[in-house]
Amino acid sequence: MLNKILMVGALGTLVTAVAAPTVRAADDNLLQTIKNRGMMRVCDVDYAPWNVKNPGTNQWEGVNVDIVDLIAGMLKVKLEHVDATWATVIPSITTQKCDFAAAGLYISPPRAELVTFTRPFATDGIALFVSATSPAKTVEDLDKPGKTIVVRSGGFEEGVAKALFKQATVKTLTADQAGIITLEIASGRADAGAGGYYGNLVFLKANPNVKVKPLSDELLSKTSIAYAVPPREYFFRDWLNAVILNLEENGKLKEILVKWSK
Amino acid sequence: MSFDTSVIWQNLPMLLAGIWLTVAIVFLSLAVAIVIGSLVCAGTLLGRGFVYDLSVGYVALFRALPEPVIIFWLYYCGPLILNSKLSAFESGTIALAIPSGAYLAEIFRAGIQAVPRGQIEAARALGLSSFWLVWDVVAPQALRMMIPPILGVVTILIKNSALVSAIGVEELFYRATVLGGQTFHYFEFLTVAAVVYFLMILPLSVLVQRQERRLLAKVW
Amino acid sequence: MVSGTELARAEQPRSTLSFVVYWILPTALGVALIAWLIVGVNWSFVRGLDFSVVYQYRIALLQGLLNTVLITFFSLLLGLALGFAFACLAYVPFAPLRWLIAAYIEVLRDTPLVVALFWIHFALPVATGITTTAFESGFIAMALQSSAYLADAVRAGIQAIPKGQWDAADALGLSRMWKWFDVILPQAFKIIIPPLANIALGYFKASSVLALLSVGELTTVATRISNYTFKPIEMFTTIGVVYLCLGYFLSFLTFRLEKLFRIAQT
Repeated sequence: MLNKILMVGALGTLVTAVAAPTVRAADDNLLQTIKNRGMMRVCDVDYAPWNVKNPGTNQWEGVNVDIVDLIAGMLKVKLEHVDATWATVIPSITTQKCDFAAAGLYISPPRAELVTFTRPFATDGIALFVSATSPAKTVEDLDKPGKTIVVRSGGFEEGVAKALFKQATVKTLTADQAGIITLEIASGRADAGAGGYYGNLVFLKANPNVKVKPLSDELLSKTSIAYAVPPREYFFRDWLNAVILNLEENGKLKEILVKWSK
Repeated sequence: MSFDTSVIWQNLPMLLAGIWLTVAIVFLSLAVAIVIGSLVCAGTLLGRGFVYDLSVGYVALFRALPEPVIIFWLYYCGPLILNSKLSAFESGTIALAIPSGAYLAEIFRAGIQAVPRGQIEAARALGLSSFWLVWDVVAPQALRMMIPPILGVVTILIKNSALVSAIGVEELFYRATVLGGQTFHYFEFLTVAAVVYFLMILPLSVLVQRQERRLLAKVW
Repeated sequence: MVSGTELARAEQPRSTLSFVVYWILPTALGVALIAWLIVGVNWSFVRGLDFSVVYQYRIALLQGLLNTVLITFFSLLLGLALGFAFACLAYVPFAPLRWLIAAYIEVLRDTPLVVALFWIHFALPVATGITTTAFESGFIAMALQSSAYLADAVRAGIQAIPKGQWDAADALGLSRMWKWFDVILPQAFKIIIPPLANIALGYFKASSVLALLSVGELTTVATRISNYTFKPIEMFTTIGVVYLCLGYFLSFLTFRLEKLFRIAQT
């Protein structure tokens, strides 16, 4: 008798698990939910100077972290940081691992299909980086068979590099830290890398022993940085837009950007 | 729960290429591991001396070190300290072969030592020279006993092959995570990867259990 | 039965071939290995190694080590509880449940830990709406996988108990549940300590795999610092040493534990 009950119970759990809703229906009430919860979860992706995880303290710091601290102060809620990579930040939003992503995220159509973006508040670009001793001067020098171009998985630069380099091999790295493409170049495993111009320059400035330089000051592609909220959370997105506009107008945004660009 | 099979069919060639690379990694690692294991086992059989200490130390060291640490060390530190220009595939294969070689050395040693002394004495009494002793008497019996644990090492190799994705080797798990990241369909790709790994390891696991049962039956 | 070492020693060089094989070859190989090391290693780089970075980030590394110990210990605890449950359930007279348990254990054993880890973290939310943090995903993945191996170990332990114990318990008129809890399981526990220790050691090693999801244990921290400061050798060698020490410490603990139980038994 007991065995039959156990069997039925097991089957029942299975069926319920299968039938459970996959993504919670967006009710456009995220702002209220955060206030009620008293806690806000934010996704960060390691990309200087927007979000950098200081390995010494294990805390996130950077432009976006400062902004998000201000936001948490406005809502009077606690803040919780969720680690992510370019490849995992969108699924983290859609599976509610975090409420929104405050990372140096570029607006791109494939991402916009799955999340809702705020208005952009900064620009960046994709640039090519090469070893400090590399003789290459143009993209043609690098687009030769046998050459390796390294990019971060899930980043905007992955598509850009694949479209640009027809003969060279584009290698994708799944690690989650900002400067890894420069490390691959410095160790001789890649001939060049494509990544965010601004962020990688900041990393190189902080690590002068990594002998890597940008190929040129020319950007492969301009990009805009915005925050990403779960799909159809329009009210929260509009609220964030208001916050960003406010920060721009009262000069706070500029102050934070200057602070972290040193 | 929606399982989007179309995204899998679209990317199937890429996934299959990953399976092929996983198999290549496992085979190459095993080959190198057998070589390492034989050398180290020979060293441990010496009984004393510098080479014996080295061999025993090798086994103790690489059974205790986690595989990811070995993989990362070889990949990141190799170019700097050993001046090696190994690709991710090569350094990953060797990094996997190193601990597997340690396991195999222990398995070889246990297998050889498990051959009953009586067999060797009988062979000597029959006048067999050392070479034929090993070839005709010790090796076949030892090998038969070694097969289940060796298959066990192969399953460990298959499972560890997923780790080299962290250094950019494009085997099955790497492809599953990268495709999942590009299409945002992690669920489909990870499930397929899990199923493939399971199907690869299951026959080996069943074989091992059957062999072990047969060996025990022979003893009884 | 004679050990292989005695076998080897008994094979004193009787012919030139044996002499070459047993003495010349190993010595030559040993010398070749050392020569390769001396020539192949970039000694100027080794001299330039700067281990102060380990001291600089000592707090983060210690936190990582703490996370390793915590996540392994607690996931093994849960795994042991689950393993016991599965092992006991394997004895119920209901065949489909036994088959289900066996299938479940086989699936868990034959999947790489990293695949299970990623599946729980990324696929489970899509399938069931349950979302977990990286730490929770790591914990659950290790608990589930270890439960499969522990179930086997527990079952072997239960089977190793002499039949006389079962009969004695029946003779004393103990009900089924009390027989299990008071007689069988305590004895099984003592028997399974060596394989349990082996599995525990294996999972301390395996916790390193969680770094692929940046769970925050020791290897994650080391990789992060290594990428941040571009000092991989210092970091990875250090954590290699730490893992070795951890392994030896655990082996030592197990040895003491076994001795303790043996004394308690007599």
